[in-house]
Amino acid sequence: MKFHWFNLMPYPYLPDDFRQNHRSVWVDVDSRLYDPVKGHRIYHDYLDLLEFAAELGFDGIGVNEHHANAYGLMPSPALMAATLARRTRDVSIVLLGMSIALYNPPTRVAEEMAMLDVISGGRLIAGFPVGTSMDTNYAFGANPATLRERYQENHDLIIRAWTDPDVFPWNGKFNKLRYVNIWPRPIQKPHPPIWIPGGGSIETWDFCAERGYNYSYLSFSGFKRAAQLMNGFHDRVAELGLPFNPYQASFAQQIIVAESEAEAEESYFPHAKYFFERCLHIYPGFADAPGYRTEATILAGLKAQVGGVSSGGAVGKSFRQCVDEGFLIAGTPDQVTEQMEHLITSLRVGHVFCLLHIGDMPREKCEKSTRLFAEKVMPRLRHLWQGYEDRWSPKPLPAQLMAEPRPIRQPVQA
Amino acid sequence: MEQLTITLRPGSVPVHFFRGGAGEPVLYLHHLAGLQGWEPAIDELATRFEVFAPYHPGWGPSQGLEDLDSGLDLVLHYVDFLDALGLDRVHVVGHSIGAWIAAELAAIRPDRVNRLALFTPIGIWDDAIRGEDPFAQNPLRATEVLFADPARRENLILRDGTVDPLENYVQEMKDLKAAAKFLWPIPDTGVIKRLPRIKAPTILVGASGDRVVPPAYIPIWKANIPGSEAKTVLDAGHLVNLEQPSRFATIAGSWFLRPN
Repeated sequence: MKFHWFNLMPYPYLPDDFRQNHRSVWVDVDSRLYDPVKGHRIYHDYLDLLEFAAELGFDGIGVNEHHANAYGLMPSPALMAATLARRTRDVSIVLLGMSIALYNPPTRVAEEMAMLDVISGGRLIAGFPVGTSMDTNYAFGANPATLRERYQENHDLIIRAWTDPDVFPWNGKFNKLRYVNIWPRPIQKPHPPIWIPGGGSIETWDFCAERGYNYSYLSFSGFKRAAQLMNGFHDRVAELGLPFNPYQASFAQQIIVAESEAEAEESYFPHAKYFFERCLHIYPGFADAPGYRTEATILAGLKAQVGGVSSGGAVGKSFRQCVDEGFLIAGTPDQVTEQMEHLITSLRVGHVFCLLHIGDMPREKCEKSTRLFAEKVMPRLRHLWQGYEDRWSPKPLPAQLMAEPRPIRQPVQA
Repeated sequence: MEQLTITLRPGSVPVHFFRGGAGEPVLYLHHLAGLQGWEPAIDELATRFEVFAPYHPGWGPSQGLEDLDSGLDLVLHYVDFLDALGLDRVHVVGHSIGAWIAAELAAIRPDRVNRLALFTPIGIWDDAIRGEDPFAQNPLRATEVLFADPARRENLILRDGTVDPLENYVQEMKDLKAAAKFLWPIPDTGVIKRLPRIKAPTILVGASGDRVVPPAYIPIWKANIPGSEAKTVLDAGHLVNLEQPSRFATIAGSWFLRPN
C-alpha cells in the first residue's frame, strides 16, 4: 500500500464574510484579497510541509494545477515540482499534473516533464488531467466544445514526443509542428508512469483501462460517495478482460489525525470548515461550461469534479456528520487506521493521496497530524495489497547514479 | 407544417427542418438556444411566406457539429441546404447566432439572399459593451439570461413542466455547447470586416431587454452594413422570437414584403 502527501495550497486568508460577499473562489475571485507578502511565507510553509512529508517516509509528494483561484495556488505545478526535485532524494514527485489541453504546443509538457524526470533522477509521476471547467474554459478560454478532443490529441502528441527517437512532423487538428524533437528525454522508459486524475467523467475509465494508466479519482465528497465511480472503473477493467490491480487506482482523502477525537474536532475541524465553506465556494455558472461534460456523463448523473452541485456537500455539517458521511477521516491514530482500512478495501485502491493539510491549517498543526499519520497509521496499513505488483510508481536511477545537490550554506543577511 | 429531413450529400448526416406556409421562400436561422419546434413566430410568418426552419448542425436532432469548425463551414452548409431544396434565392431571417450565420451568408453569397432581417445579432465584440456571458450561467437555469423577464423561461422553454428536467438540461447543454463552439470565449467572429459586402437590403432588430447582446451593438452592425435600417423591440430579451413572437413575425414579414 502506498501513501502520498498532497497539498492543494489554498490561500488561508479569505475573510470570514467571503461566502456572503463574494460569488466565487474561482475565475472572478477578487485579486485584492491576495497579499503577496503573506504569499511568500505561505509558499515556503507549503513546500516545507511537502519536504517534511518526504522525510517521514511518504511514498510521494504531490502538486497540481489551478488558475485564477484562491483554492490552490499552483498555476504552474512544474515550478513546484522543480523545487521539490532539488530538495528531496527518494520520494516520488507526483505531478498531478499539467492540464495538457492548455499548453500550446503541448510539446512544452513533454519537455518540462522530461526535465523534471531527469532532474529528479527518474522519480516523476506524470499526471494528465483535463482540468476543471473553471480552469480550462473560463480562466484559460479553452473551448468546451473541443476541450476533450484537444486533450486527446495533446496526449497522443506528448506520448509520441517521448517515445519516438526520430524527428517527426505532427499534422494535428489543434497542433501543426513540422519538427517534433524534444530535448531532454525522460529517464524512465518508455516514459514516466501516467496517472489520470478524473472527476466524474465515465470516458476516463475506458481511457485508463485500455491504456494501462492509473485512474486517480479526486473528490472532496469523501470515500463513501466514491464507490460508484471507483467501482465503475474496476468494472470496466474487468469487462475488458484485464486483471484487477489495486495499484492502478488511487483516491484522494482529507484526513485529520490527533491525540484524541476531541482535539481533532476542536483544534482541526475549523480548518476543514474553512475549506468547505470558502475554498469550495464556486459560482455554479463557472463549474460546468456547456460541453465540458459529455452527454453520456451528464446522463449517468455524475457530478463535476469540483464545484457544481456537489461542492456545497459538507457546508454547515458538524464534525460528526463529516466523519460519518466520509467527507473527513478523522480521529485518533486507531480510529484513522480503521477508517483508512475501510477506504482502501472498499474502493480497492493501492494509492491514497493523503490530504493532511486542509484549508487554513497552520503549519505546526499540520506537521503534528502528518507525523502521527506517518508513525502510527501508515505502518499498520502497509501490508494491504501484498502480492500485487505496483507498476504505476516511478523507477528511479540506482543510488550510485543519483547526483547530490550542494547543501544550502549561506545564512540570510539581517 | 411538416417536419422533414434532407441529406446534403451522400453519406452525410441528415438536416432536420420544418417547412410550412406558402409564398416567397424564407430561410429562418434560429438563435443560440435552438428551436422550440414550430414556434408561434414562425407560424405567423408562414401565413405569408413559405418558411424553412432548419436546426443548425449540433442543435436539436441535427447532428454533424464535429464536421464544422468555422463560420465559413456554416455558410457552406446553408448554401448546400438551399441547393438541396432547389432554392435559388431566399429572404433570410436570422436570430442571435443565426443572425451571424445569415450575415455571413449574405456577405459571402450575395446572389442567394433576397432581403435580410437580423434579430439580436451576435458576432461582434466591443470591450465597452460586455453584456452577460450566456455560457457562464447557473446550469440548471442556463437560459434565463436570454429573457427580459426570466420567469418567461418557464413557459416558453420548459413548456409548463411537460418536459423532463434532466432531459431539458441535457438538451440545453447540448445546444449551448454547439453555440460555444463558434462563440467561445468571446463572440468576436470577425464578421464585422465582411459586413460591407452585404448587398441584400437589411434590417437590424435589437431588443430593449437583451442582456446578452445589449442593444448598443445594433448601431455598430448598422454602420457596417450599407443602407441598412434598424429597429428596437420593447419588452423582449435576447430571444425576441419567444417573448414577442407577433412583433418578430410582423417586422420580418413587412421587411420582406417591402419592394426592393
